[in-house]
Amino acid sequence: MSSPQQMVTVERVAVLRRVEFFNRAPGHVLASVAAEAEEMSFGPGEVIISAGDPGDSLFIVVRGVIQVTVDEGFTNELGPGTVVGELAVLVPELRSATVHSVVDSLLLRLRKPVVDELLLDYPDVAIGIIATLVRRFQGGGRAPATADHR
Amino acid sequence: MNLRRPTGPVAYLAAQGVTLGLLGGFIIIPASGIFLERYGSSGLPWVYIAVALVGAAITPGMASALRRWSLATVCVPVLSIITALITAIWVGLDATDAVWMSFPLQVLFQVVLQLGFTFIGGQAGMLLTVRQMKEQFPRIVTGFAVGFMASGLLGPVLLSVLGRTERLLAVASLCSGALLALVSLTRRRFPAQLSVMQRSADDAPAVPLRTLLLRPFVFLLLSYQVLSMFGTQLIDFLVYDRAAARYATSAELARFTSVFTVALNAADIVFLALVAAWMLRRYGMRLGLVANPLVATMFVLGGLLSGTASGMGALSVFMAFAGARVADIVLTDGSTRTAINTAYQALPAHERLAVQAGVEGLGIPGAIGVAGIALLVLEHGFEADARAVAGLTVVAGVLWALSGLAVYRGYQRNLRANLSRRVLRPADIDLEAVVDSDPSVQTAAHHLLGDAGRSRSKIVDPMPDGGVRDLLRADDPDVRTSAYHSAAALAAHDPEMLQLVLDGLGTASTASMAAAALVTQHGGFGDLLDQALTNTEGSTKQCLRLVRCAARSSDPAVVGVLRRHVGHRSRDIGLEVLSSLVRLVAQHGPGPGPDQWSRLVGDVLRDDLVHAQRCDRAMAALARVAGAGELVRSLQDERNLLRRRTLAALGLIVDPATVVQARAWLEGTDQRAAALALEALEVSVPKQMRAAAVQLLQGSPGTAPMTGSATASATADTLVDLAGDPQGIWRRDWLGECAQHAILAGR
Repeated sequence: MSSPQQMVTVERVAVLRRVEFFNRAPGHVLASVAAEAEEMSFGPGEVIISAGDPGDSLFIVVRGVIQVTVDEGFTNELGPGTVVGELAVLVPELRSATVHSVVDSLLLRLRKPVVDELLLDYPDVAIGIIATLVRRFQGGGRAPATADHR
Repeated sequence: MNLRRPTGPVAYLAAQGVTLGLLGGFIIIPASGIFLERYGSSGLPWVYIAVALVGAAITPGMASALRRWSLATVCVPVLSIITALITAIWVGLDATDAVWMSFPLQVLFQVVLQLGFTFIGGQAGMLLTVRQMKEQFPRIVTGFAVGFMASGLLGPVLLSVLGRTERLLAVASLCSGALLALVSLTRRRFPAQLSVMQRSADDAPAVPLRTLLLRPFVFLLLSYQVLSMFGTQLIDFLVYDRAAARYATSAELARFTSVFTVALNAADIVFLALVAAWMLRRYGMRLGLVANPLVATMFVLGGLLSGTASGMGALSVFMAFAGARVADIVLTDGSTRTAINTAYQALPAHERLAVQAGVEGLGIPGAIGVAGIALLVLEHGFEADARAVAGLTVVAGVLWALSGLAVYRGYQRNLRANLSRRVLRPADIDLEAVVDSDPSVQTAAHHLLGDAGRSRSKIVDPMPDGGVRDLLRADDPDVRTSAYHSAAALAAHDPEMLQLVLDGLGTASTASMAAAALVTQHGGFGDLLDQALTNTEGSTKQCLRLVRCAARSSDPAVVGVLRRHVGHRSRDIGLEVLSSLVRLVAQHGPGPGPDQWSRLVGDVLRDDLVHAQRCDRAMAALARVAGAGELVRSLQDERNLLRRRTLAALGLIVDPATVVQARAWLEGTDQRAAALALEALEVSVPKQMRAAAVQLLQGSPGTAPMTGSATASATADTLVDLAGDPQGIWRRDWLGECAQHAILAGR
């Protein structure tokens, strides 16, 4: 895993806008979130999240493909614009899934305090997250700790 | 929300209008010719009475059918029956010379027009939003006028080809078949909208038509339509009565009728094409409802006064009555039909078509019948002349205008009531409104949920003393949080302590407790707020949070402070100021001089409209610029912010429940609901700020790219202006950053 700075803020905001639950927040607000985000690069097979580890951040896939694996063996591959680990920024707890990179992937990491600031001033974002989670539960009852899969 | 012009549905409906005009023309030409030749004009009042009886007989069935089946399903058999009837009368007249058949044909003409307009208006109501209806319905009615005029021009030509008057009914039969085909085609083109059956939300049993018609607003609509048709029939009678007095022979009379019909429809088409939509857009529904009675009555009154001075046979009297007829037709098609069809949209969707069928089917034939009886009574009972009919027309016109004003008020009330009823469904607001960032939305939502008095924050017990300062500096936010309430008690006399509490606003985990502590300082909060809003160097985030909690303060100075800062340099902070004011006004009332809020809102809307137009111009200039995508999206965000500011500002002068529901609908994906919300707000705000409010709420008209040689220059100027903001008009660093990114991307 490496963390080189590859994107300017405008590009990061464009990535955040593609994420369903951020798309109700205006650009200048997303810019403040983007400024706090960390870019993280992962090679093929590298672990991004390990099941059982404590977590307080979410990851947004900018480039590449990642695979989510839960205990029961359920796997799902996710691409650009998707999110993993978003429940951890709402309710910090141990990760319930393992996530690793399938190919060279670039992700943005957002820590809980950054998201908390956003939620406090823009409840629309919270509504977006809740709506995403509700749809996920309605769409098959899969464990919620992994990803925003569309 | 996109309220762009829907060309598809309008084209289909206008085609139906043309066909209905042709159908009506090819029925009335042979019907009038045969009927008047055999029975004369003295038989017409009996036709009017028959129209009323037939209307009364078929309307309950139509209303019931429209509540049981979709409009499209009802249209097909009804139009099939009409086609069959016309064909049967044609065959009967052609084969047997049974002239009495011209009587049912005259009745059928009126019935076809009423049903035709009910069907076209009903489809328009399902295919267009209420805003589109106001703009587009005149174009649909133009189709009818074009068809009717075309039938007048084609009639003599076809007559010479076909040989016998009744054979024009064959053409009418073809037109009826064509209308049936067009309705089916429209249904196939828009199956989702036209096949839908509107049901009440709670699946309650359908309300009987009689009960519906007695509801205040529906009764007003019925009264308006009855008076409208009654006035129209009397004006029509006056024209032909004076024409009969002026022209001695049937040839002269026929020539006048022909020229007058063409002139009438030509004026109608010109008015519909050039003036009608603009007039409704510019002056709104109220003028749309009262223009027709006012103008037509003025003409009749002029004729009456002129007749009193120089005799009813004078040319000036004839011209005045002819002018009244032209004004009546032109304004009926250009404003009344559109306004009344728009007014139906204020009814619940599941009742709309039944009401429309009831009002059009009972009211209009009923008015025609009453006009027939009135003319018979005046002529035979009182041996009255045209002067008495003109006097009755003036009285009817005044009542008609007054009913127009009453319909408009009912329309406003009903729109607002519809929105309020929606608000009362918890499912609509439980999440969106209660957790909304806009305090006015929260207030109204809680109020409507019966939760207005419940506090949403709990304040920890005061701490005893002095270690408070250390606790406020602790790294652990939980520790700091526990100290805020005690700190607040000391902060009034300790600037350092106050600053520590204010700092708490800057972190999400401590902000709500810090805010709760700050608002408990009754005397000092207003000053604190004023300082924060005046300080241009402070943190925007902290200031936003302080303003937001101002709505919970009991310091009486707060309203005055917020009023002074409504025009804050930061539009984000300005929005929070407006929102807090709305909440305080909702809690404590508007205070003395409610007009002051109107002036304040007017100022906000005027300034914001200038900025909105600036954003629109910039978006148009940048639409095709590589690397400016995020900049355009951020300009759109700016437009959305202006919409929220407008809604917040309107919350100061409009019922908060209306604003809450309007906002939910405007920000949703249902265009019909968005248009209805816009309409409800438009009729609720004072006239002088209506245009600005609508432009701000409608959002950007789109990012249609600029064309022409000036494009490159405009783009470059726009980017430079946004990047540097030399005039301090954009007031958003992020727009500058995006502009610089676009400039670099273009190199």
